Formats: sequence, structure tokens, C-alpha cells
Amino acid sequence: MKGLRRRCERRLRGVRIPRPFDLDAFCDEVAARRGRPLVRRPVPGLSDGAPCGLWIATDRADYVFYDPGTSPLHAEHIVLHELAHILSGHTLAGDSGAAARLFPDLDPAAVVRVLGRVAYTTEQEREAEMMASLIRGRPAAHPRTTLGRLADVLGFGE
Amino acid sequence: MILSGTVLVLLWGVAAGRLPTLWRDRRQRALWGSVVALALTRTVAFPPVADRLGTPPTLPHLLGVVAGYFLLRFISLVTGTGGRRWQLGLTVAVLLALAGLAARAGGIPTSADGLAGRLPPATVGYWVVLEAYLGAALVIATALFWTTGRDAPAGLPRLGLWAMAAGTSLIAGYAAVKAVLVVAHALGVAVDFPAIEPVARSVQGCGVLLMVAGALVPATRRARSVAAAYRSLLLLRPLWTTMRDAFPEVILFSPRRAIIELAGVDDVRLRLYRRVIEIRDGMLALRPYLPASAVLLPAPGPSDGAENPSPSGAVSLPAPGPSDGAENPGSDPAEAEARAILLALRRRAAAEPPAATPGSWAPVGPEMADEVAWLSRVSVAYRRLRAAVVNPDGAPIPRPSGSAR
Repeated sequence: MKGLRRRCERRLRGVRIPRPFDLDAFCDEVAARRGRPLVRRPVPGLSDGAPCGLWIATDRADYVFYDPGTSPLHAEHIVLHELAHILSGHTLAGDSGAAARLFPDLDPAAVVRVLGRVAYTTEQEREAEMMASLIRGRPAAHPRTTLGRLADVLGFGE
Repeated sequence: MILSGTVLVLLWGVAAGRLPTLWRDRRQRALWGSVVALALTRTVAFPPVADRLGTPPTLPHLLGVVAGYFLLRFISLVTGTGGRRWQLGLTVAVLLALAGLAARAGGIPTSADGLAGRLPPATVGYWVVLEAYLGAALVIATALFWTTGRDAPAGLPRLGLWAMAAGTSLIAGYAAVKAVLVVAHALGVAVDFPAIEPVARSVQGCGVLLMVAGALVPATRRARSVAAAYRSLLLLRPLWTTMRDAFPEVILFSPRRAIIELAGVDDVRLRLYRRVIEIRDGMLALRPYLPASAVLLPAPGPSDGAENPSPSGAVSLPAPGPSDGAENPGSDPAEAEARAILLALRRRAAAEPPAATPGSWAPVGPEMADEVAWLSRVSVAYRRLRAAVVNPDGAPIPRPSGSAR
């Protein structure tokens, strides 16, 4: 687990996380890194018999879907989980059946990757969940100055 | 003696309090090493301990040099300058020089009366090397704390850093004065060591006190926030253990990892965040079992930090019958939410079909603080209701699990 956390922290190095946290700004950051649009859409009832979040990558854009039937913080976390898959470059195809059920008009040939947030039973899911938690649940890092490092060790400032 | 005792208690308290930070990074480990070495130095030099253990007079000095090494290491890691190799080399050289000089002198006088006698060159050299090394480390520390204090936020952080600077400068002053007096005495100047020593000891003790207190002052605000996080973890536990038992697949941390995550300051906040998310994961999974035919209750008001982005109101349920052993929900939205969770859990456990049109959970504000405040209230209400439902006769209730999570 320590290895998982270190791995996730390493992956997040260089990723600009807005403080205070702003999901729109963070999505822009991810889209800029990918060099392609990132579309975020709420899908009510997504989690009924399906993942509560879903990333569908086509050859032109990334689509992130989430169930809005939960608290704002949780919905944000679901989106972050999918963004973590994107940042990690996870490649395993997920349950494309879920995408087909939810979006019957979607051309399966256009789908490059599908990953959904269901449980943390695979390494990729644990990674995405840990990264999402580190992005949103960890206080902002102190600036890399002498004062920032001293503040970090002595525990003052945020 | 009182001052020395107070300093010892403070030093060992800080060493114990900072123990979990050992797992964080090298800076934390270097600071902890310095505190522990200083605490050991003061402990073995503390008269009751020294008498009981028969401490060699030079042992506190050698431990002091080790404390100086960790202090230099800490400064180097904080400022991003200096290499470990030369620090280690310098420290080993000082330790070897001290051992050699002590052997050549045939013992080092440490008491005021001993210093007042004739001092051979090896003894003088011993004191000069020791105090120069410690003094140099403390002057560097003083410069660091003083200059960063000027840039630190006004208030407790700046005050704390300047107190540390004052403390280290006092001890550095003590070291410099002692070295000068020993050299002066060896050169034939009359120095009244028995008269000076008690004052010098008090100055040294005050310096350590200022240093330790200064290190503690800036962290008080953060300590309050960490204490609040621990309290919230406890408040959320009843609801979280229920979700964990019902949906173990949503738990991320292993029990062992969860204990480690309780140790560091930032890690406690991360642990709290995970607890909130895992509760919400469970509630989302429970939502299909929440009937939409429930009675709507007022959402938590602005005082609860709940800016409501959701179109739906809080869900309450009709009060359970007498067989449920629960009280009337009244108008408390947290109790209504807890009641709804209990009902959804019961329906799921009975393998009832999911509701055709599921209900929704009470809306809550977008921030972590909103979630923690609201879920804590729900968790407290849930615990009370569960106790009433499971155990209407007041018999002891089994703990949900022995897991450390």
C-alpha cells in the first residue's frame, strides 16, 4: 500500500492542482496535458447496476460521466477517479458493455478505452482511487522554499 | 533543578509527540534525531540520573555533538544546502578529537570547582573544540530561524521562529562564553567558575526552553485542526463501519495501512477524506433501496454549512412501528437521514427488489467541512437509532468489528 501511495504521489508530481481546489480548472489542466477536449457530463442513475463513474476515450476526446445523485464532494471525487485513470494512462479496456447499455448510440469502433469506477479490486482501480484521494484529500503542499520546508516540518501554515 | 526537570519533561514530550513523523521524510527524522539526542544529553547530565548511573563526565558532551550533527543535518535539508558527507566527516572528526584530548588530559573536569583548578592544554583544547562545534551549529541555526522568521506569517509562526532563534542564540552565547573563560583561565586570568556556573546553567536551560517552546508555538493551530480531524474520525466511525461491513469492496486502505495513515498530520486528513468518501460510496450503493415514497424533511440550514446544489430535499421516513424500537424522527434532518439509511440497509439485507424510483439522500454543501459536519451528525443519530433498534432492552451491543480502520 505504501508502494501504491508513493507511485501515485510520483505520478502527480508536475500536475498542477489548483488551491483552493477547483474541478473546472483541474479538468482544464488534464485536457491541456492530453491536448484534446475533456467533456464532463452528469448521468443520473449511472450507478444503478453500472459504475458510478465512467471514462470513455475516443480518438478525438475524453468523456467523463458521473452519477450526480450523491453529494457534491463525492461527485467531484468520482470525476477525479476517472481523471486519475486518464493521468495514469491506464489502458485496460473496462466494461464496454456498460458503455453500450448507457449510450446505445455510441459507435463501439470509436471507443478506444472504457474504464468505470466500481470497486477497488484491481491495481488500476486502487491507483485511480488513491490518486483521486491525494488530489482532493491532501492539504496543499508548502512552497519549496526554506520557509515552506520549515513550515512543513514545524507544522505551521497550510 | 526545577528548570532542568521542566526542560527534560518538555524534550521527552516533544520526542514522543513527534515519533509518528519519523515515517514522513528525512527532514522530520533529522529534527527528531536532534531532539532525542538533546533529551539524552540533558538526561544523562541530570544530577539524580548521573549519580545513579555513574555517567562518565564526557558522555553528555559526546551526545551533545550528536545532537549538533542532527541539527546541522536538519538545517541542511531545510535550506537545501550542504552535503551529508562533510557534516558526518566533521562530526566524526570532532568526536575523535574530543576522545583523544580527553585521553591525553587524563579526564576532563566538568564541575565549576574542577574548572577552577589548573587546566592542562589538552583540557583547554577539549573545551574549545566542543564549544566551537556546538556554538557554530547553534549560530547557523539562529541565523536560519531569525531570517525565516522575518518572512514567516505574522503571529504565532513568526513568534515561534524568533523564540527558537532566541533560544539557540542563548545556548550559542553560553558556549562562546564558556570557551573564552576556559582559555582566559588557562592564560592566567582569574575566573570565578563557581560563581558563574549556576548563572550559565540557567541561561543554557532557558535557551533550551525557548527553543522547544518556539518549536511548539507555531504548530498550535495545526494541532487544533488535527485534534478536530481525530474527533471527526471517531464520530464517523459508526456509519463508516456499517458501510464497510455492507460494502467491503469500497474500502481502499488495508487495516495495517489505515493505522499508519493515522500517524502523520496530513495523513489523518487524508484518512478522514477516505472515511467520508467510503461512507458516500456505501450510501450511493444503498440508494436503490431507498424508496421515493419517503416524507421530505427540511434540508440542513445554512448554519450547517449546507449550500444545497441538489434539487431534492432531505428524505425522511415514517417513524418505525413499536417493533422497531425507534423514536419519532421529529424534525431533525440528521436523524431522518440515519433512519433512511437503516431502512435501506434492512431492505437490502432482506433482498427486497430495488425501488422503481429510488429516493435521494439529503443535500449537503460542497466542501469537505460541510460533509464532515453533516455526516458526523448523521453518524451520531445512526448510532443512537441502531442501538435502540438492535437492543431495545438495553443489553450490551456487540462491537461491529475489531478492525483498526
